[in-house]
Amino acid sequence: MDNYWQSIEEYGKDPKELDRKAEFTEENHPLAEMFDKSIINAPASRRNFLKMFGFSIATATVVSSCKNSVNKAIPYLIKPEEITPGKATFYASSYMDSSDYCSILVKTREGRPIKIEGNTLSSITKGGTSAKTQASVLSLYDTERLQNPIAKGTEKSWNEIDKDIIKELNKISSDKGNIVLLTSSIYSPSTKKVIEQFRKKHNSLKVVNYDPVSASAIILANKNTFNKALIPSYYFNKAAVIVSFGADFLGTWISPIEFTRQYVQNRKLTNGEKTMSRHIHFETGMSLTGSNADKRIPIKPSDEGIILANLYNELTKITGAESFSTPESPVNIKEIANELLNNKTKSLVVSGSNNLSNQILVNAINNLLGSYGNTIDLNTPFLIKQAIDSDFNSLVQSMNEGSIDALLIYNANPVYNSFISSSFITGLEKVPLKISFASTLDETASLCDYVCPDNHYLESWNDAEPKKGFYSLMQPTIANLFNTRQFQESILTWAGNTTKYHDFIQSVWEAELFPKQEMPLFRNFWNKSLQDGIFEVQPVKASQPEFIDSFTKPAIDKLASNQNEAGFEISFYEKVSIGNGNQANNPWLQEMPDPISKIVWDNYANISPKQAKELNLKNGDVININHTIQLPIFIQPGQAYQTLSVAYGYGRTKTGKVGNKVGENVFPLPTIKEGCIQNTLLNVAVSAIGFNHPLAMTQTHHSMEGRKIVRESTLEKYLEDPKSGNEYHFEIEEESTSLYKNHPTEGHHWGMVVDLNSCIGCGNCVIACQAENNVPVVGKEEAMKNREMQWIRIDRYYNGDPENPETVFQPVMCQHCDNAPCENVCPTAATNHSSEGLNQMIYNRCVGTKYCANNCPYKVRRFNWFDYTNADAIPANTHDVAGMTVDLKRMVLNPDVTVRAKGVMEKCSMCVQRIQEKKLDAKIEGRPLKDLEIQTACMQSCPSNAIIFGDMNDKKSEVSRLMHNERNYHLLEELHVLPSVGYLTKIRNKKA
Amino acid sequence: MNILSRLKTSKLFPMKIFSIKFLLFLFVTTFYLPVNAQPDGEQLFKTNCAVCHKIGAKLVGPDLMGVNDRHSEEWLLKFIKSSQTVIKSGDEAAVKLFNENFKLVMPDQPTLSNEDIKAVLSYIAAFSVEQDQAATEIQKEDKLAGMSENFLQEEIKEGTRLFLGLKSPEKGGESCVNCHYTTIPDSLNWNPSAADLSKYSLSKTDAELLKSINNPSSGKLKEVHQNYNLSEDEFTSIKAYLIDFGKKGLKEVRPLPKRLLTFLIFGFLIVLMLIDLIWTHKIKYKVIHLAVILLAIVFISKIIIEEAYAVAYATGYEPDQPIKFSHKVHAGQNRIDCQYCHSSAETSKTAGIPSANVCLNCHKAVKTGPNSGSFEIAKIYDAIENKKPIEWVKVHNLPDHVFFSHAQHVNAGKISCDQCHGQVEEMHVVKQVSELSMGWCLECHKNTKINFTNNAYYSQMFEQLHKDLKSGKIDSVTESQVGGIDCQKCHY
Repeated sequence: MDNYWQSIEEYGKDPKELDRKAEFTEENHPLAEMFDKSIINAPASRRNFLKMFGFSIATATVVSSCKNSVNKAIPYLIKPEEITPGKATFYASSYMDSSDYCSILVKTREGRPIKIEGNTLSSITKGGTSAKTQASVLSLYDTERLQNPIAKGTEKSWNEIDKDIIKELNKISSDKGNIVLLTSSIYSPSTKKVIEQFRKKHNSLKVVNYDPVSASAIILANKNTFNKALIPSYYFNKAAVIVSFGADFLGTWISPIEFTRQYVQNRKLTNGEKTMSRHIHFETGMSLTGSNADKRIPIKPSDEGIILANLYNELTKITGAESFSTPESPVNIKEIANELLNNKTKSLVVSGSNNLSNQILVNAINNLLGSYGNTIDLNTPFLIKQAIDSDFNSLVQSMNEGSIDALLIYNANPVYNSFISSSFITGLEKVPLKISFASTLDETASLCDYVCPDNHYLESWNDAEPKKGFYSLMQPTIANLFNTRQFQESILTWAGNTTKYHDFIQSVWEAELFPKQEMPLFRNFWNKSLQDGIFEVQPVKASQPEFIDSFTKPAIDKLASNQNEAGFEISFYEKVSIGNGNQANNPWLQEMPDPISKIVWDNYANISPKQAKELNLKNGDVININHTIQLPIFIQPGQAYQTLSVAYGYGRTKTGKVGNKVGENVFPLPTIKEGCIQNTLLNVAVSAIGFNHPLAMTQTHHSMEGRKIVRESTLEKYLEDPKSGNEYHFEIEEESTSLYKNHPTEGHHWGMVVDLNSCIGCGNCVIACQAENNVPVVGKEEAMKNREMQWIRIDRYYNGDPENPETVFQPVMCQHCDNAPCENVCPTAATNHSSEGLNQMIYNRCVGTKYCANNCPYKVRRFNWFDYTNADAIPANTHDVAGMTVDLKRMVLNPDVTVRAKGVMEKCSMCVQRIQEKKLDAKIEGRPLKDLEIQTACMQSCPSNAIIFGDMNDKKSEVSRLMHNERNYHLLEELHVLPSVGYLTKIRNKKA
Repeated sequence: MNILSRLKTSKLFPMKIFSIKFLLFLFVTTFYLPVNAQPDGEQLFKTNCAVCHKIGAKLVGPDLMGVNDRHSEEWLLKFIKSSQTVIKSGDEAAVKLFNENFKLVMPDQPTLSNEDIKAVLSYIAAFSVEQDQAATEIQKEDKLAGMSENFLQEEIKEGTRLFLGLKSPEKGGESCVNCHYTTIPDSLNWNPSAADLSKYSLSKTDAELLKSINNPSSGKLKEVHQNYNLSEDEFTSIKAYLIDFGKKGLKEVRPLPKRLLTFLIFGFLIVLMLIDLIWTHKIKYKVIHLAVILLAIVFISKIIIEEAYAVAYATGYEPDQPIKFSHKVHAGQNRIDCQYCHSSAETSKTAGIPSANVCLNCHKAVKTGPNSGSFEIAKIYDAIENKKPIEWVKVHNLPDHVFFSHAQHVNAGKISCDQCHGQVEEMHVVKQVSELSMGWCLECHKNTKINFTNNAYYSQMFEQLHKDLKSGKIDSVTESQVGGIDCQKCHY
């Protein structure tokens, strides 16, 4: 048995010796915070008892003698045809937030969007979503959104503002002035046409693309080596060997939802597969992708180029191509080179670096390996990121020179997230006309003359082409909540075009896409595309462009000359939850535990355990970086020695109540090189300042005390014996006997299987569950007291050397044990067992003794220490850090799930509301339930299909099949609590 | 105790609707006919034309408003006498009119002389002018409302006396309060309440109001108001009262709390007996004290227990609704299926309160009802006109933590509506007849036999039950045998 550990404090210690923070302690009691300790500890006197007793009786009498309230039932005046009160309506749409894209279904109830589901028809995202996508529905109801357009600090009507802006724009155009549209990459074909319309009127319009975390180097490298400035398609499913240099393709790199589906496709072993891809990962900080790799190699950011050059040379040695002299590689890459070459045309090398030379080398290596046309396709490029960082640089220069007369800023916030924000600000002052389309008064918008708030994407019409030939539509699912207007309509209005944007999209689709398919009527084509949410043109097979070799040598030479000095290096990364900080005001995302560190509500500098020991630092100690920025450190196992890694997206100042002043903004730190922002910082001076900033970490609290919780094996051993790593399960099964009577086998018996081999730990399910089940947000202070409320958590375990451990992820939700320990101890029978095998939690019976949570071996029960969502409207009970008691935000609540009040226990219900809904459908239609018809929220949106839910009594169901898989085991099965959730062992593709 | 709440699902979004002003016209026409129209014409119109025609709206035949402007008098004379002759002659306008009106043949009017027809036509012309004026008057509503503030206290007092019957009108007629109630709950009085009248009087001119009291044009109102002949002064006082009433609203009358009184009396008895027992000693035999005290305790306990049981139960709840809608008329007499209006009962968890446009399906044509005339129905038009949804009072309330699905019971379970809602078709005002308590639910879930063998949903599970049924060991399967009493059937 491997010795797993969860945090660095735990490594190497005897689990019993660890001083664990318990969730339910006297010190933690909310009363203890309110009162002096002496009151709690004082013995109850007879008089006090009588006082309390009398008061309780009197209160009960007064409360119960209140009259029943009069409820109103207010029907629609004229009911829209598609809405049936009490039933959900789904609309296919697209989630677009700068370069994030996902094809989705929007669940609406009585006309308000409450949940995002993945769209299975899309061949890009295939029904998967990301945490950011799931959380975006809450951003719709953000109270910080602008409610009216603003002109020079005062709210104005659209008519007034249009008149002024048109006048000013016309004047600029007639004076031959320069108008610039600064925008995040636009991949909507219709929006591009809208901008064309605008350009017809104002021919000086120049569009500058701006992505805060860009892919400039990839685009430029392809421009050099293939004469095509684009990001190609990658096919991780076709690769037998994947070597990634810091590309977090499962978390944040380019199209993570799509890549997750592809990646997992040939790592699944549930259908008798005999092979798995092999994934080798070089990186600085521990990323989501790196933690899933079969072999992970921590490197300093500056070493990446050298390793790439050596890898290139190693490959050329074997293939016989020309090699170039390079500095020696810090790691041995011979073996990797061999592995890659053995899988020629079935291998893929990617790099997340934004260094041009590195990307040119990656292209050269892929060319040697024959990846183009196999695992990489240059003919169907991604369009979601188009920005070249240097374009923005030259824009700022022109602004400072005073040669820009009007700046239109759409979907960009450079004051916050540009590396040269200070010179952008000074430049901005020299621009006479500044118009922002931001939907909140963010850092940039607050410096603009006019703010013309854009709709939220759930209120908008739009189309998208995230990848060439893959189109999708966005449609409004709610009328505008505020007096906002779509960017495109504003632009059309100012261009003197009175067409509604919806009609405009239709005309674009009719002219450009309608001819690409066979339906005879445009109306039918449009309706089908709108219903499906997508329209995909089958790519035509074409040969890949020719590789231009002449850039390889200069790239390697440049690397060789860049021989760097020893010293601290920082690598900057995006978090899976917060990303570039666009949705920083979304409390669900702020409270989503980081997949790796499990820290909420903060960013921090990750540091390696060895380094921390040397500097004598502990978690939360604040360090000064280059004397410009202070950040708490977090000791991250697997972090490369002498490096730090820090997440972008934090330290917003004008995003709203939730996101302001959370963490520090590190966007200004990186430097630009060869037109690309480097996302790294070399030669950093680090000093401790002797101050501790406590970090809220959700995992140390959930220790499994070194038991056989995660089980794993290697591919080799698995092929020999599928039971490998899981022998313990069969031991337990053999010994299994019970004094309890067997559970009934009649009817349904719901169960779930989680494939640990597929689960990448991205945390999408956590947010999906939160949205579906009205799970509250508690805030950092409460999270530090172990009071986070999420019903599903992803436990992350380390194994091995703290400098480079192996990682396992394990989603844990209520296990719905047949012999549930929680049920026996509840004094009010508030938790008991249903005839369908569910462990039921009845909130109205619960009096909050917390016995059940103390008796649960899995610690999945969550207690409402306060009323977080205004469930009972008693002001003293509420605790609202995230504005979730505001009516506007409460619109996101699922009306089919009770909003829990203070003092009740809650936990995963296996989405019983979804079970009941589908059962009813089947009963009404008079047919048996279909397997996989019921999908829990976590299962529906899982991008890696790791979660399967179903009826264990149905012998033909997928879940029964997996429950009988040799890899299946249960958590703490030695306790004989008979969980209904099974886990499939993790299999690593490594040499034993 | 945890009071849990679920987000109110009844929160609806205002919908854009197109204005249907003409409905208001219809409403006005049924109430007010002009004072100074030619008597001949009006009478003739009513006896000969009104069956198919209206002025200001289309009935069977076309709207006659402005008919004099559309056609020449000569043409009209010919057409009214024998429309088919004109049509067959190929007259373009006549053929067009005929086709537009679904080729319904207008009966010939041989009995009418040219003078008669001219009288009718001039009546129509006069009526149309009157209508236009009425419409402009309505626009002055705000001004009128402002005026109403200026009534004197004496006028209001006098109006109160008149309205409430403390003083009879000089020239006869019953007091208003006999029909127009001022308190709630009213035991279903079909007539408009004082609050309704108050609202109504704000939207009309004094002349119109006075006419509708003294000389209503038609319908039931004419029948019941025939004895009234209010003077100007009396009218002003009553109006003053009504406007003043509108500010206060209907008074809620609480029934005499008999139980509370009984409770207090018995309590008092106990105290009395104790006083006598300890100090005054007026009654010789202590047995009497004891008997009275015991008896009182028994009654008091009975009241406490019964009241405690009734806490949070609302059996018999029968609130007033904003519109005097009668289920007895709709579901009983007219035999409209429940699900015609409550259409989502088959598909959704809520049965659904019909939206105003559903009412209009019938009430587009049906403008007067048997009991309340046109006053209550007009509230639907009013709602649509003003884009204000009707705020019905919810009768059957389940706690927020209970999930109840109508579709489950009506569609899957094939339970008839009256099993829970009682004989709604016999109720004018809906009343809660069932307890709607958890015990009541469970009682049914335990005993109700389900459609086990015929619903294929159950075909692949519950092998044992299927076997037992086949072998005759059991003859039916109840809801509780297939998980019908699990907590999470209803609570999640």
